[in-house]
Amino acid sequence: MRNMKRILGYVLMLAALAVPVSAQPIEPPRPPEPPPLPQAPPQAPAGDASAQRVTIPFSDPSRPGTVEMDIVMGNITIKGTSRRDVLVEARTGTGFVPRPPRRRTDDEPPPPGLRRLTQNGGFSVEEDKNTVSIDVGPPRHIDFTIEVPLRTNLNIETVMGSIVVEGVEGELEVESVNGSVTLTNVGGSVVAHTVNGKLTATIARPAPQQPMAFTSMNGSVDVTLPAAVKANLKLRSDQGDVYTDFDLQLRRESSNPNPNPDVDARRNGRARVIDVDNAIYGSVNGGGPDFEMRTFNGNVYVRKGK
Amino acid sequence: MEHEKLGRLLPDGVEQREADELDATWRMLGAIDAPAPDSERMRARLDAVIDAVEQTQAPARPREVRTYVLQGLAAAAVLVIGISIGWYARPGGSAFGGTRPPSDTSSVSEIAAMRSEMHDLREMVSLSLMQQQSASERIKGVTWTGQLDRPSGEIVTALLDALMHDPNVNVRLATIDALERFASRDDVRRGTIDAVQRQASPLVQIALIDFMVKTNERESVATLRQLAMDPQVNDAVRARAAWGLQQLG
Repeated sequence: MRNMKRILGYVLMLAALAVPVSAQPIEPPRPPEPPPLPQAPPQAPAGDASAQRVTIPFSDPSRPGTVEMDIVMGNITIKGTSRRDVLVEARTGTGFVPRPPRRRTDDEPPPPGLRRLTQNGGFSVEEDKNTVSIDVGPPRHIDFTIEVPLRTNLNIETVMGSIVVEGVEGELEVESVNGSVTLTNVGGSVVAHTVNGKLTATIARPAPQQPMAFTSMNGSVDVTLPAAVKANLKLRSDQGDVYTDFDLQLRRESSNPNPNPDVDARRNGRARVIDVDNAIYGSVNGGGPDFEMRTFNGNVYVRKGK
Repeated sequence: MEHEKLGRLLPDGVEQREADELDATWRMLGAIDAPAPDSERMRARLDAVIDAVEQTQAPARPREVRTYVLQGLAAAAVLVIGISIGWYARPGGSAFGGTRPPSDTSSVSEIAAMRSEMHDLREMVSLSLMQQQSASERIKGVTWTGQLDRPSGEIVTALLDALMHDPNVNVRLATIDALERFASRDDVRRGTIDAVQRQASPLVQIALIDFMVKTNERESVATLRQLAMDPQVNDAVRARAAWGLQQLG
């Protein structure tokens, strides 16, 4: 009897695991997809002489796609729009970077009777499995302005440059080393970091149950969250102060229950407790996923949005 | 609503918390992306099947709807069954005045087996979250390890691996918090000391120095001294390392 129950239990557990899996592939039959469009060739710059535009579609525009890029020099601006594909506009930057020895402007017309074979603009755009990847070859300064569908995941990094994201909803991963990071009116989940810049974020629609993190080494962290947001905040500034207008329920421990952090401090026979962790833990509106806001040199601001 | 239904189905004196945790586990499992079957051959085969079905059966719609309803019902039924197993498996009501004491050793071992299975399941969820493409999901996986009673070595290894190799600074920062409870393990001591030298991010280096001080990690003294002397290292990190040496000295 007992054995039977146990076996039954195993079987049911397996069944429970199997259901979501088996339910996955049965989707309403879709019309066969058109073959992926060939990548649009770089269009002749319209109006702006130094800008180059490329549009590239997602292979499955019905699902949120991902845009990823990791560049060394240049600013990146990304805007959520009603379009279904991705428009990449690139401008070779001015200043900041030593010019390449052989001076060549990208909009230079080909000599008479010849056509240019090299890719325009020194960057490439590719799409694979609903991910658009933007690559810049050898480091050169290029500023990007990219228009994406409203719901798009981002994975964006630059070393020498700032990042601006406006009105995009999705999993947003943004990192700069020597520039500021500014996120305006975004939704979903944000994981952002800058080493030497200021980090500013206004979150309009946080994804439920998704942790977020906003960190900087040498800049302030300034985050505006919806007034009704449910979250557990972990706030910390080593050299600065932490400010908020949220009604913060302070807690001693993080949501990550740490049964006894001081046990190990005593393990050498010396009962010595050093309070290093000067982080402030608190929950707003009853608590929710963990949001970490942290900087070393600078202040942390957590503001209540409208 | 779900709870009321379950309340009617199940014996008294059962604990709400356990059910909620299970519920959360199922939801986490649901959140994990199933690998998308995007091979072209599968696509072609599926299209062929769909074509064949469409040709032979004229009114396809009601069938679809029925399939969905059946799927929904099956999922709901399995969820209910899963939760009842969880409830059934909790040790004989010890927390709530013992309405259902374990009757014999076999039921005790059965419960233990169920528990360990639940534990494995949670570990599995944490580990697979840590493998996700999204940094937010990986942070979730890292913090979830904090809810495991006795995490296996596999979890600790995964955390150390994330500390060393995760491309996202914020994920690496989160692993340092999660590793604190394992600070007495040899591999964690070695791993964190190794990491403090190799980290590219000064914020993570400082968090690791704080970790050494907090856990009174004397083995780190040589490494901290090196950091404090190295002119290539970020000034704030060097200052922090010097402070750490003072604290540990």
